[in-house]
Amino acid sequence: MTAVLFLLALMVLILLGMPIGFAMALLPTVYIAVTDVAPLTSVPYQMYTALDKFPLVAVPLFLLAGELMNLGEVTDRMLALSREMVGRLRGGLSHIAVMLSMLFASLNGSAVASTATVGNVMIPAMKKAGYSGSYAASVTAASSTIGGIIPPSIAMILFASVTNTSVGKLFSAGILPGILVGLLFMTVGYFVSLQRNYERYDAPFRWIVLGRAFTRAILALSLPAILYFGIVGGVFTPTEAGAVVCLLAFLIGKFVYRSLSYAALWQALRRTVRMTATIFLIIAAAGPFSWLLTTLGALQGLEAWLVGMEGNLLLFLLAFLTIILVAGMLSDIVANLIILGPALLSAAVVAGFTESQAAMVICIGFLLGTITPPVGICYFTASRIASERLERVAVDLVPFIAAEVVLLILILAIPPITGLIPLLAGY
Amino acid sequence: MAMALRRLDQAIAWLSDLAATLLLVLLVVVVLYNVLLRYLFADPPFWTDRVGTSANMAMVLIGLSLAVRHRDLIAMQALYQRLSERTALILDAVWNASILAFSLIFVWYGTSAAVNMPGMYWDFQSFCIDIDLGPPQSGFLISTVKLFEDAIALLIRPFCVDGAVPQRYMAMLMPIAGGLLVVSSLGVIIADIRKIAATKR
Repeated sequence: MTAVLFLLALMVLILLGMPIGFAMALLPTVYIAVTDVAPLTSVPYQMYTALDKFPLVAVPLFLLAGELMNLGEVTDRMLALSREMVGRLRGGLSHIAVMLSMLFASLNGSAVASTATVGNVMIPAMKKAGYSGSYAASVTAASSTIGGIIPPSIAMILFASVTNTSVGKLFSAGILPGILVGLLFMTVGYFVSLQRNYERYDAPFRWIVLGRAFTRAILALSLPAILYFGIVGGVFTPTEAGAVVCLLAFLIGKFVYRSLSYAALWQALRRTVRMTATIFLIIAAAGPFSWLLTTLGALQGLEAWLVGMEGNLLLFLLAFLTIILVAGMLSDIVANLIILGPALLSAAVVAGFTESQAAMVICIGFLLGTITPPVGICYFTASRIASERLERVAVDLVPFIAAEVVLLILILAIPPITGLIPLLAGY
Repeated sequence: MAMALRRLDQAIAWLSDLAATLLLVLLVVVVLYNVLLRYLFADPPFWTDRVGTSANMAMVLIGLSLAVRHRDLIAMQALYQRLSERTALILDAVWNASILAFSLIFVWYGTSAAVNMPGMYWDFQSFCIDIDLGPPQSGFLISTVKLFEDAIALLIRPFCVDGAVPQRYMAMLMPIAGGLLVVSSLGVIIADIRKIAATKR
């Protein structure tokens, strides 16, 4: 009961707009101050030990790599390639937004960064071409979740670090679901565009133009390949891969594309520091908050409740997916992954699912929370870029959310979607 | 007095920004250095993981105050869109006051936690003990490697006790970060109050 009250208090504080990390740190502090069950020094101590983990070093490195890629002409080159590949279908710009997010996802691990970058390029262009602002915002926000599925994914790095799973295995498991969700979004976009008579790119298709666009983007496209095969082939650890990609992104931006100045590099470093701090505040605060929930028996209770349903698979799946989707809607993805992730993974493995299946469903399910009201950060970001009312964007998001839920069901029903590539990669 | 305080606040912000950014650069360099030494000399240093983790922790703890100062913290804005400007500003001031309260707790109990933190970082042993490395090495690459390790040793050696670095030294970053948070949250609260005063009811 006390655990439920604390969870409710956290939800209320978050919905009222209190910074999530501080809300999570303040509640255990208040609990300890009132009940005296532990010394108050345990709050800073647990925040400190939550940060003292080497695998987490990968997070700022991937954030910096994404920042450096943004500063080059990479987005423009990706946009030209996407237009040549999918722009001639009905709703061309909508498909380009999805394709651009998929390509961008392979360079950046963050859904919010993807929304901001792709949204600033695509939403104004879509509105100019006659798309409604709400549709432009919804397709951009939905596609940005691919950033957390296709490697490198910051969500997966965090999940691997709290569940002691292999980052390389999770990265491998995310490739097919990432491509599948992209195709599902394009299908949704095609039918919506057909119904609303949205445009398509008119220029005649020429292989030479496609080839030229591909050549212009090849260096940027080679980075995710170096990163993925470097990790899977044992050449680098995920953390080292992050640093190597930072170096390559800098060299390409500075000496090949010649679009990266030292002043812009310094600004990118400063932005990365602040982004890292905001994410790590939640990671640090998850330390004492998880301790609080464990002390109150909530996490063990959740796991035991789920494991108790393993005899009835349908009931288990219903409860499993409901918890993930509701928690995703009500709290931040980083907090959810750290606090609920380990208990959910262990319950799903006991129920007979593979580690890759369960991990992907948990990561993608929590990512869905970034595009759903009331706390969806990508949903707010895209709506703000489009200057569109939140209610309208929410309505246009419904088919995309449904497509992502279909993906979750497919992952649970067909193990090779998440198991094939890890198997081929030797995991 | 107000001007002097403002200048002090700006100086703290500038120094924090510089320190956190340089720590990020150090983090990238140290991780790349490990890869370089592993493939060029088949001899990866064992201290790079610890230096990388410590640089990351220091960067995060210092960066927190910058995130508060720049109002970059992750928070839900849905309610704010339905509030008047004045009410939204008051709510902001309440959250910033709660951050200030937590920061004060963090300084007080963080100091106590740091002072009593057990354990040593043995990964730094090679910097804490004088090892005879033989005659000076020639060649650009090797002398650069030596120079880099000497620079790291220069940073770490003052903190060595009995051949290792006590964890409590690193943990002292907690009260320091708490102090920076106090300064930055005070700054944003004052800015909030000014804005509230300037906004009509």
